[in-house]
Amino acid sequence: MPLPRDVQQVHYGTMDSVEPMQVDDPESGGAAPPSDFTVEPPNFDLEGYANGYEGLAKVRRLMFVAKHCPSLQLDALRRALRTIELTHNMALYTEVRRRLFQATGDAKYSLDQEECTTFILGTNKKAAITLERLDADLKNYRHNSIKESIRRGYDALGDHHLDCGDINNALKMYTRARDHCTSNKHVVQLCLNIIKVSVHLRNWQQVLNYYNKAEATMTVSPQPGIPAPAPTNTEVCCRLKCSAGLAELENRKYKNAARLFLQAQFDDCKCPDLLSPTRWPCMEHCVPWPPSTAKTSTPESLPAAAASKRCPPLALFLLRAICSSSPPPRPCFFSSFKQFLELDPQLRDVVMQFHQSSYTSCLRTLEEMRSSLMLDMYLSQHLHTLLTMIRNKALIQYFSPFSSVDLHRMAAAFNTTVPSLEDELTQLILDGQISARIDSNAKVMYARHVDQRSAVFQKVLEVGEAYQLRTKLISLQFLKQALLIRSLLQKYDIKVKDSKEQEETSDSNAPSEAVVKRSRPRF
Amino acid sequence: MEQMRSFTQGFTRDQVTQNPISFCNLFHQLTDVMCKRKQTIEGVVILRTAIRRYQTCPACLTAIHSDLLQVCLMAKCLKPALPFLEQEYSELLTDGGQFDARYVLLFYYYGGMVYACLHKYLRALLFLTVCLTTPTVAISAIMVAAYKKFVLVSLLKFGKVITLPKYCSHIVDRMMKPLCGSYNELAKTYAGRKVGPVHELIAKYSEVFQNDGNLGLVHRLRETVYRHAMQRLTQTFMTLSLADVSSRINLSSAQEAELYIRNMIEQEEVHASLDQTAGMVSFSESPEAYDSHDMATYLQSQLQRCMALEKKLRALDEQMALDPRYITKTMGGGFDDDPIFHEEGVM
Repeated sequence: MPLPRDVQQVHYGTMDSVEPMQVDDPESGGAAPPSDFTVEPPNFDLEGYANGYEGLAKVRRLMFVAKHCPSLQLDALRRALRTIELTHNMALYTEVRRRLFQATGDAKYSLDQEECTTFILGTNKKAAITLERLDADLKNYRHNSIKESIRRGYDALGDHHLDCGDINNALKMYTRARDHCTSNKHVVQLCLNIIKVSVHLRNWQQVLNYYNKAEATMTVSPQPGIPAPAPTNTEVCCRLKCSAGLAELENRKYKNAARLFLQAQFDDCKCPDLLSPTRWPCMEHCVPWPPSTAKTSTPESLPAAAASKRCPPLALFLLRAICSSSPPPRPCFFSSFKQFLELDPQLRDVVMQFHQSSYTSCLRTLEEMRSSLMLDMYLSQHLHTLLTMIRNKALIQYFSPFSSVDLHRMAAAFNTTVPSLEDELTQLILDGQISARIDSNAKVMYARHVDQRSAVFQKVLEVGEAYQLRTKLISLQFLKQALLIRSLLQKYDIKVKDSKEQEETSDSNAPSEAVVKRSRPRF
Repeated sequence: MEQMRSFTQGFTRDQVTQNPISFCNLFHQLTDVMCKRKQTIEGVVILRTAIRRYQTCPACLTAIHSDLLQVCLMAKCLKPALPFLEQEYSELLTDGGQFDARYVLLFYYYGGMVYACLHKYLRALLFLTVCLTTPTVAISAIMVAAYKKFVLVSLLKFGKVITLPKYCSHIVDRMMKPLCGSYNELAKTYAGRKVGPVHELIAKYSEVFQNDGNLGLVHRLRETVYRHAMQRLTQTFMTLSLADVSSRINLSSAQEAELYIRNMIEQEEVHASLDQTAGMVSFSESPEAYDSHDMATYLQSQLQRCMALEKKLRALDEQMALDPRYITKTMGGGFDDDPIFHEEGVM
């Protein structure tokens, strides 16, 4: 059964909406910037951005944009309103309307408007009618005990609930369909549905669980006798990868996320309810660059930028994945990624510049893009971390071929001042990512070559001392336990308040048998 | 007091073995009284004679040892305690029912405290670890206090909290986290080597530290954080201006930085040279080339020591393996299993 696209809605809990299903975002704060920020990105194409999504995803993202970007607020909210009107989700409808009213003060959007209330009532009634009908159908099917129809019935109910914005019930319905799945295709579909709902609920662990399940099912047996085998299969695959990638992103497992996103194919990436192609190649840089990438940069960079328009996380992660894999990634990744990159020329440029080690322009462009990237719901929390990682990567890569580097030139290359560069480099040195030392007097950084011989001697001495300490401890322990074991039988009858007693739990075996208890004796 | 003195000089071993419980209790009560009355100096002598006479052999740990240490600590007179601490104990005086494991714990805990006072941190850590690795199923307040001191002393010595050995009871790990929250936090902040946050944290929890009686150690920590921060600088910089040093380590001025560095150079904690005209300090790698005769002899002596320890450990292991109780336990009463039986050589 094809997944109904227009009905899918995406609930994201970061908003301050009054959605009852809202799940608090557990990851605001911490290393990420606070969730209440405002950005004013220049040249943000709201229309293009919004058109990339559908359904609830669109609404949610528009609301996110509205929340964080005052200049685009009205436009975003209006679009959101238009989208919601097509669904049965009245709770969200009232919310958007209220926001619009607050923002504009225009009585047209007030909730007391008669037309508004009639519309809401009408839609609610329609939704109720549909629900009744579906329920009745389901009862009928259950009565007839036809598994396939029961499953379809549950699915339809789930979809309807999703449309109304009732995510929890949707999840319940989808889960109930599980018992009636008869073929692998059904299982996969079930997994997809549940993943969809879990993404809305931001329950990433569940997403990952069902992703694994779907993967297992799909590899166990090839899909036999499907009407349209190849496209559907790859589309499903792609969908799965995207969702899993998103989940990993939210779990801050950037490398895994990148890898997963890379595995999504461009042509089949039609999941506008989940992700949309926007500029994500940023992520690519976060992936640790294998040393050999310098030469393989061109083929890698192109794929990396590919995901830009269609799948925001995709591109970024793709690049990240590319960078992370030490053997050069297989060509199949590249071709797909290339197409993603083509969608956003800015990102593509960034990627290419990074590969060509022209860090100045690369980082500058990234900074310019930062504000528009912040408007993406999923990425905004991680953006700071990711960009820092990209920058660190660039720093490390910059320094790698040299034995000494003039800090002034390096600072110029990285658009920063020498003291702040020194701080950044100090941090990297202490983390062990750069092996160097800084001559603060002459502002030069020298690569450090560790003298293996003295390092070995030092280690030997340390190990020797540690060994002696440990052995002394063990022999003392041994002694102590051997002695403590010799407790006396009279002890068993003695009740000593608040004092410890030694007891022989059994005939002495290893010293660990002896116990020291605080309470009354056991016997 | 007079009576106690005469008693300790007069009692004989036989008298004591008749009623060891009250004998030891007597000394415990004596310690309490002395601590309350602050007449601890005299008590030191009394307890020392008592121990000497009560011990069957010098390598014998009694319940009174912890009393002696307690009294010494109260009297702030640590020298008399040292010979008892240096002693390698191989016996526990457990006749009668008078021996309580508490006193063993106390002995090692106080021992750790004594060494910490004397700045002998490595030995203090040894004692405190012994205290913490006592087999237990319940948490003792002594162990909690020992853990707190353990954290502080290991921060002082190593700049990080060293891990407790694996044979430490798992209860220790589980319980210490909630009970010693402020100490763990301090350890974490200290690992960051930033002077500012460490000082803030110390100020924040100063009451807690005071209640635990750890304020002295914590104050020492305040000083050592500068040293550790400085050592961190040596890893990343080759030369640094003194003003930079003082700003990075939150010292008040370049002169103070210079003073610190000079002290550290003298104590050989850093390898550096000061350039006063330029106001620079240049850090260098350790000049130790490990190729001198002294180094060779040192290595040799360490090797010998390690081998001796290993031999001792092996002897202990053998001793335990031959213990009939152990054998019966491992055998599980499997007398029918002939090959094993013969291998053990047990009749």
